[in-house]
Amino acid sequence: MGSILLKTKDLCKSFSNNGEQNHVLNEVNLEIFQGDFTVIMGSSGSGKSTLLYCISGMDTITSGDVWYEGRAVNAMKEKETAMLRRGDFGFVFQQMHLVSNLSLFENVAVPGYLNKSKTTKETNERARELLQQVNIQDAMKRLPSQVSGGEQQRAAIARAMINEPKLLFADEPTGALNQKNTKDVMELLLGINQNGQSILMVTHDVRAAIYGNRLLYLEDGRIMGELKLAPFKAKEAKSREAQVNAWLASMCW
Amino acid sequence: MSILSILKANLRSKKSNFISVLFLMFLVTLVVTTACSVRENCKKRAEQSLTESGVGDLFCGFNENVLTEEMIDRIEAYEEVERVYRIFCVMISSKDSISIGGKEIKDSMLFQTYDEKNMPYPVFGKNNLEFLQEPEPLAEGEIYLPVSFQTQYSCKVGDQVKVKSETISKTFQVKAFVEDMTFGNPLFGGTKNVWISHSDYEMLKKAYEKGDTFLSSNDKLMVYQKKGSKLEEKEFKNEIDKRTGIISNSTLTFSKNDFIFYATTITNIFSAVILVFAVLMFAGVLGIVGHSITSTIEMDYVNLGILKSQGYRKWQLQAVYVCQYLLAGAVGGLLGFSAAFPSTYFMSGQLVQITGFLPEHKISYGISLVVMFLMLCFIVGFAFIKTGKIGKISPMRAISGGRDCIYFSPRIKTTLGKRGLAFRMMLRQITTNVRQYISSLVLVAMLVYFIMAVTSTLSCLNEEHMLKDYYGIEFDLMVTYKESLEVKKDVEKLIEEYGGMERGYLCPVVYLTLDGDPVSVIAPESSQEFTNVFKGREPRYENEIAITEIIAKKYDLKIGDTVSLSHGSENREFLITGYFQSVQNTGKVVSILTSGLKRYEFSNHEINQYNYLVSDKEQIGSLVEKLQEHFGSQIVTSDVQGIRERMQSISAASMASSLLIYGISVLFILVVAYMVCDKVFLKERNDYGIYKSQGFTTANLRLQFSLRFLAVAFAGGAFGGACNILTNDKFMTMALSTMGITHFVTDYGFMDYAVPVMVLALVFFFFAYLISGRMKKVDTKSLIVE
Repeated sequence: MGSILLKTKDLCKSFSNNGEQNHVLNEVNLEIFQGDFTVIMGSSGSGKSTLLYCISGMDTITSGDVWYEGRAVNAMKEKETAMLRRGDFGFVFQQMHLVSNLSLFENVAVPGYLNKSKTTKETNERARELLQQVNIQDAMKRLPSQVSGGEQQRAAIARAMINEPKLLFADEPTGALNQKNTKDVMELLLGINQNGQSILMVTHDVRAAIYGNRLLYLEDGRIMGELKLAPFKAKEAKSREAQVNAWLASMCW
Repeated sequence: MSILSILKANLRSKKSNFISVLFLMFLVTLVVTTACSVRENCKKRAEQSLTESGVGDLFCGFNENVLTEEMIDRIEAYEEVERVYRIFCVMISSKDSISIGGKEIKDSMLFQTYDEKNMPYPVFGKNNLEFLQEPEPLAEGEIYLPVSFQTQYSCKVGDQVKVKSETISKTFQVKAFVEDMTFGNPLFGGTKNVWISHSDYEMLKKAYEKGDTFLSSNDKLMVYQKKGSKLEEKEFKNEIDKRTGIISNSTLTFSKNDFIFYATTITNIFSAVILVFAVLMFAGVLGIVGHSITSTIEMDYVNLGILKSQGYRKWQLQAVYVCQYLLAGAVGGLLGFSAAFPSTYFMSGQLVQITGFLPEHKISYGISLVVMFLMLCFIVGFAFIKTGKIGKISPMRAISGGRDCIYFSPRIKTTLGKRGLAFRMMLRQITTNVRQYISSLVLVAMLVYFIMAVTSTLSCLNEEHMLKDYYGIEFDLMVTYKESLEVKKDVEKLIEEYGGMERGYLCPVVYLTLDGDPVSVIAPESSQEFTNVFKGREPRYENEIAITEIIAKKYDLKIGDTVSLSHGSENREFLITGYFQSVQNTGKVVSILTSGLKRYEFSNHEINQYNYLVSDKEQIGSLVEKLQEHFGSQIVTSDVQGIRERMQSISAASMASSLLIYGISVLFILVVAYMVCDKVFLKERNDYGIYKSQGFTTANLRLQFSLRFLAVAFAGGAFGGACNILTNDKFMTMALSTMGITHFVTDYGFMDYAVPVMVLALVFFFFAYLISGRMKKVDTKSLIVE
């Protein structure tokens, strides 16, 4: 197990609805370790995406703390969170969210241009490498609307990797994909993780969750359980799926 | 009902759309209605005032002892004439010491009694906003002045008018101002009517009869055409002249239509310019409606798909959009129409001192409502065409979020890179969706074009330019030697001594008759004095003539033709050698050499007019006084200041319309900038969330967003400016030709170009920056799908 990369303490998130408090996250305490492929599971409306965005600084929290490398993410100002996103965090969204008037290459390269440590040439080279790595080098000049959903999500993963983040957040990255594309994308994420990339992924898809080595179960805004797994091997996929299903059943999934 | 529900929902959720179109239509309708109403009111008032004042169908002015009883009898005997009315006037020339409130009068004054029975010129009440129903008779020492004197000489009721001549010294008190449609127009220089009591008139008349050389007798004759006469105005003029010689013997002849033309020239020109501006503004409104519809359909793509899946048909959805914009247009139009009431009232008040008369405050319902109706029809038609793309929306694709991409592959490839990323991103935003910015670009171009056009009128139609480029001859001082040239040497010596005489030349200005119409004739002694011949060449021989394009057009003449000019019974032919321009007599002017003029029998007094140019321009005023002191009644002097003051009314009108156009342009651009920026922002809101999630800061994104509109406004401004540089001369010539300017040459300064571009671009930038403030609220949360 690697060192702690990010941790939360008594993290709460609630919404007020006609004066009535709705607690989406309720005193969540968790730690994310360096090199892990952590997967948060939970039923629909359990607050798993909210948790992801709260700990990544994309959403505000009601109380508690989120610590990243000794810094309170929840106390950061807009500019600081922007800096965090430029260098330390990478994001992959369920709906890909590529900028529609930029080509796939540009979608990947643009966040890289914000990185002061690299020149334009170095960024472009890195973007090409990543696009090759995610196997969409042939489509790199196309606009997002001109490629398939799977290709879009690969580009989104490459974009998230451009600044070599310490932690990659993925929110249901296979939610909008078919079975084949789901497998491709998950294998891609697995490959990245095997190269040392820490990943925190939210999903409700068991076939995606089995790629993780640490599974957390969220219910009613609380972490209800944790399952640690050995590193994923393709030949063990079926047995691993059964193991995860059993664990989920024990969590009343 | 189903349409109504969606319409209501749309109005609720898209208030800014509705309000923006409403406001733009409000502005356009306000401008159109006011301009149409003022134009119509001026024309009506000119006609009405001439009738109320008892002005005849033909007006003739005569020098002393020209109009005889026998001539009047001959006119009365003509069967097409109903009656004639003779007005006796005593004229005091300008420099014969008339001053108002200490300021010298540059025009000659025709003193006459106020005849409330036969010639009841309307008398203004307080504030020039109404007429007195029954003006009190003038008491001894009281005087009525034309209302344009208020601007020209900064005078008011109660001021003193001092008159000095050889034998009399009299002070009058201004009792009121009069609307004089004949000579009251500030454009109509040279002579002004003033009214005094009967006893004061008798006093002046006696002084004249006793031989006071400062005074002269001047008769005016009104000829009234018989009711039911079938003769056209021109036929009547020609016939009466043929039978009586009245026109040939008069110094001036005008028909009612001539007076109406002179009186309404300024308002016609500037209302036409403002109406053209309004038409372009309306084109801008259509552009904005088009942009709004396109972006709204893109943003409502899913909703429209859902509605289609629920059974709504294409025409029903189109109807919602059309009704939405029609409603906004109609409400804006009605508000603009209502606001035109106070605006017309205000404009009428402002016009009094520029035009010399008080137009009605009425709204021209007919033309304004027709224009408004046409504008609404255009909006409906345009909205219907633009919403045609609703038919292409597939419910299935819309619901599954698979709408077509709104962006195009950019044809102009701009590469992105680290250096100047915000600028490069801005370029990319523009090049990938150029259509989105076309309406803004065209609108800014139009506004810059117009602002530059009106600025050019300001810089070119100032008094200096008007004299130099649009008068026809150059002079600082004009001296008429009344009897002989005996004192000429002494006069020139004095001019040399006090003003540094550069040169002097003979240049009589008289009236001759062309095809029955009086035309002004400028007759310098040498062909070198012609400063404004722009086509052909200046006259070099006594039988040659240069004409204005207005004369050429009116009488179907061209270079090489022969034209016959008459003076009384004398007819002489001239060969046309070239075209020139002059605002004198609103372009109804020709130019020959003095030797050509001498082919007619003119008195010395009429011929011996000399123009002088002096090196010390500041001394002109005092020089005139000194000449008057030394030479008294032997000469008549006037200086360029008088003309300059007359030109002020044109400058004032162009200044007023410039300010109006500037003001409306800025208001217009504010609304358009708000609307376009708002739409673009809403459309790209999601992208900003994405950029933020990748590490872009709000400040960076705001700059990128605002720069885009700055660039579009600059491009539009540059385009509009370039169009103006290419076409302004023609455009302004078209607009100002009725004033006599047929060859307008724009004198561009860098600031004339830079200021409107900068102002509009900065307004756009500022608004874009303001609206992009919402970017702070754009949260990456919007990217979350739970």
